[in-house]
Amino acid sequence: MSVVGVVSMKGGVGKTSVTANLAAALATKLGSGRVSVVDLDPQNALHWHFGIEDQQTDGVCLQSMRGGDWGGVALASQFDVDCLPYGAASEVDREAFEELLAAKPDWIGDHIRQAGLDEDRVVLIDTPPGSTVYLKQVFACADLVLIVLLADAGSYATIPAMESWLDEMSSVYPHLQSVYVLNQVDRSDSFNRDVADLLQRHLGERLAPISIHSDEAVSEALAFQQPVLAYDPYGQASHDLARLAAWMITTLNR
Amino acid sequence: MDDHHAEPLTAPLLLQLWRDRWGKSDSQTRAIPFLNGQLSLWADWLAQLSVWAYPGVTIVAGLGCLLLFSVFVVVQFSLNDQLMFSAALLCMALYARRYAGHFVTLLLVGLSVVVSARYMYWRLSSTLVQDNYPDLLFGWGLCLAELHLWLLTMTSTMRGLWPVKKQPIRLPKEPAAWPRVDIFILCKGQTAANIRSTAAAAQGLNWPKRILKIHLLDNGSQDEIRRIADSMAISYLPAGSDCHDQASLINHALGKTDGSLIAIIECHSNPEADLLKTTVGWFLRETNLAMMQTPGHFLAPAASARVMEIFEETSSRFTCALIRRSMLAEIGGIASEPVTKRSHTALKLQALGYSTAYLGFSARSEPAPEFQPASVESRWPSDQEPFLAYRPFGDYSLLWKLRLASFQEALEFFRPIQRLAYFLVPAACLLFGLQAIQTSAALLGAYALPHLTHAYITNQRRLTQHRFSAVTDIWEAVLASHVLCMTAMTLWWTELTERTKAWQSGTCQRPGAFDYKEGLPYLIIFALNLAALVVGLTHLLKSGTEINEMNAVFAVWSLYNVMILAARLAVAEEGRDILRHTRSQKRLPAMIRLASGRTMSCTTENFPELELSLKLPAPMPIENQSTVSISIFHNHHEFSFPVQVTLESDLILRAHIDGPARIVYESLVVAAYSRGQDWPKWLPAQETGDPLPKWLVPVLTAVRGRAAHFVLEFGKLLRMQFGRGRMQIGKKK
Repeated sequence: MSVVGVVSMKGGVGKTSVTANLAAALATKLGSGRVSVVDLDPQNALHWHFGIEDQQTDGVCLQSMRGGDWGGVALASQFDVDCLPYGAASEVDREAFEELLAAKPDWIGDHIRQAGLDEDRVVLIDTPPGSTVYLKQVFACADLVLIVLLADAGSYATIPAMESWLDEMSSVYPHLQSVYVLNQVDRSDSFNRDVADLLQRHLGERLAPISIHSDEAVSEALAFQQPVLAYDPYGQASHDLARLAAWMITTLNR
Repeated sequence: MDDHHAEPLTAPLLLQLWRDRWGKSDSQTRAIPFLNGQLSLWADWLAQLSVWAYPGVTIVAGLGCLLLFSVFVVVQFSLNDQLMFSAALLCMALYARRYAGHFVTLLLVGLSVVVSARYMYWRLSSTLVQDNYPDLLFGWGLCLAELHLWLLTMTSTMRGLWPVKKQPIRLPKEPAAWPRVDIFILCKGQTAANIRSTAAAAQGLNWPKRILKIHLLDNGSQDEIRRIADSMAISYLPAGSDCHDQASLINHALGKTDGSLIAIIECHSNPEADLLKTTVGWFLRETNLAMMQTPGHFLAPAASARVMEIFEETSSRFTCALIRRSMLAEIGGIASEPVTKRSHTALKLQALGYSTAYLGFSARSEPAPEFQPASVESRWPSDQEPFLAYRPFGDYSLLWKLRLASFQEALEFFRPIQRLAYFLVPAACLLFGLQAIQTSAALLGAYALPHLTHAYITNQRRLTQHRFSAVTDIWEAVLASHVLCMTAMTLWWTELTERTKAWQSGTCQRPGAFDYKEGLPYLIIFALNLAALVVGLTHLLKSGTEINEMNAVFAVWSLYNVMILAARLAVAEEGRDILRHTRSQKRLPAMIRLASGRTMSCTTENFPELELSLKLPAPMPIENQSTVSISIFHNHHEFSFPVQVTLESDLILRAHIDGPARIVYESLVVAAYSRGQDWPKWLPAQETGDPLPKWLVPVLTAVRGRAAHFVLEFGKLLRMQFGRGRMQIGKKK
């Protein structure tokens, strides 16, 4: 089983979209029953990308509080991705869950392993932005961490914080791989282009070789509750995501 | 990857790409420099003897030579004498071939003719199987094939001996004397982009506009062409929709135009600006000249979509014919006989006493058309200038020359059969025990080897500027199996039906990168030869002292065949690889970004061109002439710029790159093409252009050095023994 965490230091970089679309892209390459996504973001929005309506079942938050198996909250979608939503949870539940996570840094990793998933499954975890307890949990259990960035000043400013966080984490988990992924690139916009070049110079090898282009189809796809690969298979964003998925598979296999 | 599989590659193109790939510049001459030695001086002296001026001397000399020749051909020698005789002639040829000059070439040809004729005479007179029905048939078959090759070589040699090298003729100073020229652009089955670019090139011809008129020729089925003609202010001459072949299109257009010269241009080939300036001068000076052609055929194959697909990579190939209207009208227009229109038109013109000419280009701008088997090519290009050679002889007034030329063309037609025979003989003899030649191996060697060696030397002398003869052999080997089908089909149709549309409907095939499905006959031949080789070798190893010498001969023969055929496989493999590489440079990943923010991932079709074609994976809602942003990806870089686009079809978008976008685009072109060679120097095929393997060169040099050293030392020893004062030489050292 491979666990991939999708994180960012700053909100609004399209992290949830990237998680969902990347999961769908991986599923088209790997086939049905090979890809799961876990939503650790209290916003509980990931399942929307797969056209899954709000269910009566609990999400990972409440299930964990109850001490139940995560396998019970997995929802199948028509895009071959199994989704484990955060679930609608009250403020009290969320705080209790976060306390639990703060106390047991391996909680999520253990639960993913205990969820009865196959050995050859890829699990993507969506996290809330910033350095939260969720982020720590992800670093504890992930094989690969994708750090989503935008080519703008806001993202650029968060890089030092991310770097020091990564330094700290790499001393604890030396085998962890982390890679920056540039989202919503538009090189016809000169500022976007300049920042992208700057980031490329600054990050070098740590930037994934494939960036995701800015594409209206991504937001339109969410409105239709579909991954972008299903909504607009010929769009550039779909193209990039498919390549990124292929690149991830090679990286994980290595 | 599979889509590159069946796409053919023409031989000159392959060679050119191969040279590109391995960084062998095309100016690098393949010719071995000849010496200007004693022999050349003698030749000059002989040619300038005053004796030749006396009447009758040439006739007497000619008769003498003929007598000598017939004696040499028919005289019977014992094995020993034959060996001595061959060795003497061979030594002469080997000595003479190093020297420059036309006389030496003639000498080599003469020697080769004597030896070959002697071989043929011997074959016919004393080696044919006399009885035994299957052997008799088989032996005669082989003999006929040999006779065919021999006749072909002789006729082509005679045709190729005296090339005419001429310079472009200067036009008169005042343009008033220049003729009116009608340009016919054959548009049938062409894409709009092709037509547009050819028409633009024609408009750019260096010729006064008031005496230059451009016409688009088509059978009227495409409105698109009319629009192009209107937008470019050129004339459009639609023939009726029942006109299917190009000859009738041209003949129809003849009636509607009045220029005194007609230039017929194929659509996918863009004429150079100086085309008319360099060619028309000949029409002004040679009042008898009716038609002049540039390389390639302008009539066959018809430019159907299938042919366009085949020729995609050779679009730079330019073919054109210039014809004088009055003379063409006299023969009733372009001949519409199938398959051989070109020859028919030329023959009809020649029948009326007009001449036709062929304008070749220097190898620099145009690789020699390879479809003619190389040994027939009678062209000796001078260094830079275009040269003119009347084909096949300078003058058609002598009927026997015309007959000879036609005879050779007819022989040429059957060349594949003869080729195949050569490939099948060893297999037939070794596998099925047929007996083709009734003689001993020693005699056969004594006659055949000098014959082959002389032929090789002569051929090399004639072709040395173009290529190595072995390479030609490889190409012809495969052409044979491909061409055989074509030959058979053509023969069938020409015989049985007066007119055939089949030629235009896309049945024509070109040998290209090797396709295992199409190449099945070739593989069978290969397997047969391999089997023959194995059988021959086992026979030689098993039979001990009782060796059938002829089996050894056939084993060697099949080994040669296997080598040639295997080399062809290697060429095909490399050809496919090169093709893939070349194509990949034209097709770069790209992206279109609409104003709405939606995008589409696509690929470029013709990368470095300014009228960029983008192939879309799916139809896209896009307005014509709207401005969108496109990005082209190269390695890890993305180049983005705004362009105006037109939808050419559902899936093809044409982007016109101009203004500031052009600067970005050009920097991308530079980035993509200025990387130098991307083939590493250490790859194995790097040295394949050199006739000797690299590891052998130092060995040979060392051996030669050792031998030279030995001779010098020996000479010194002799001098020390027999000469006084020779010691000084040693002291100096």
